[in-house]
Amino acid sequence: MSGILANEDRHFLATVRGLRDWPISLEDSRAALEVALALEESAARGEPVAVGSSHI
Amino acid sequence: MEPVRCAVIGVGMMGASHVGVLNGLTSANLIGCCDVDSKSRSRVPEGVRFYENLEDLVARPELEAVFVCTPQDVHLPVINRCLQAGVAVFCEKPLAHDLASADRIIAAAAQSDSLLVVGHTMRFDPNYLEIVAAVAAGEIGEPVYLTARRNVPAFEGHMLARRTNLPVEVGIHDIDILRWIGGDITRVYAEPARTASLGEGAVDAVIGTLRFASGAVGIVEFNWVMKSETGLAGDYRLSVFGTEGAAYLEMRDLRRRYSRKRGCGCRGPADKQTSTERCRGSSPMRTATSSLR
Repeated sequence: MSGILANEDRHFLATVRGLRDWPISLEDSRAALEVALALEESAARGEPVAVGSSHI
Repeated sequence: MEPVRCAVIGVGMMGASHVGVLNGLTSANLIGCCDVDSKSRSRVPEGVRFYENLEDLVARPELEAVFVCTPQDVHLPVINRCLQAGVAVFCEKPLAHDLASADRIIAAAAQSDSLLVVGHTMRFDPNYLEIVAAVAAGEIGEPVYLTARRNVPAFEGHMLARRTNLPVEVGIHDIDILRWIGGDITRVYAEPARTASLGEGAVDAVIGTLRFASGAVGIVEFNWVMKSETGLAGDYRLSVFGTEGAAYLEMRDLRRRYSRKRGCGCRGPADKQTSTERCRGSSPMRTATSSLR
């Protein structure tokens, strides 16, 4: 993992300097969180959950 | 490139990992670490200033960027303060612990001139990137069935099960990759296992089905109860079956097996012959077994 973390940190630092673009948007980060929360809600309720309808 | 003057906020497990990396990068000048727990000072290299108070850190005029590695439920106030201070922010996944906080963070970033990114580490793992690229290049056709597995050692479960949950803390790595490959996910159905090994009511494992907007389906499986006696540092898998082939990655016990197989284009068995006998044209594009160092 340390090699991958170094890749990531190096990329961020280069992004700070304007030399690289970050490969994931905030919207995509939010969308991944939304699915994860939907899985958590589904596990708690014991039924399917439509992503975007989560109450968590 | 001039080294970026940076700091790590939250020097727990992930924060300490970033500290170790940054302290060795020529593109970083680690000028501080901050943690409300004074015992975290022991994880800070000599010569790097330690702060218990965030205000003292962000008051440093030379600070350019921070790595936010705190518990998720304080990402909002920490990131807000850093954006106000005009420093670039790297936020360890997940963006927040709930969507309301995530939305407030995104709104704050939109109002700020400072950079905010979220660290989804698998997007920097060449093993995963190779599969993403193969799918993007059309090598396996349209994704039909996608699966991901991420099983991690029990010490992570013991450390985290009381303050976060398995899909958000562990599964989000694979959820991001599956979305990157397969597109939006519209419906999920999860089943948890609760054996009390992590404490009464705590979830040990989750399996889930996914429905993609494209019509594809998927399965995810996560657990954080892998005993150290197994000798496994991690057990990960990604598979993508498409209309023209398949790609899969398996990483267990630091050994990687990676294959891509392109279909031969035939339509399957026409008679009693098996599809293997018929498909003599199928070609393994790559098979590699190697030890990761």
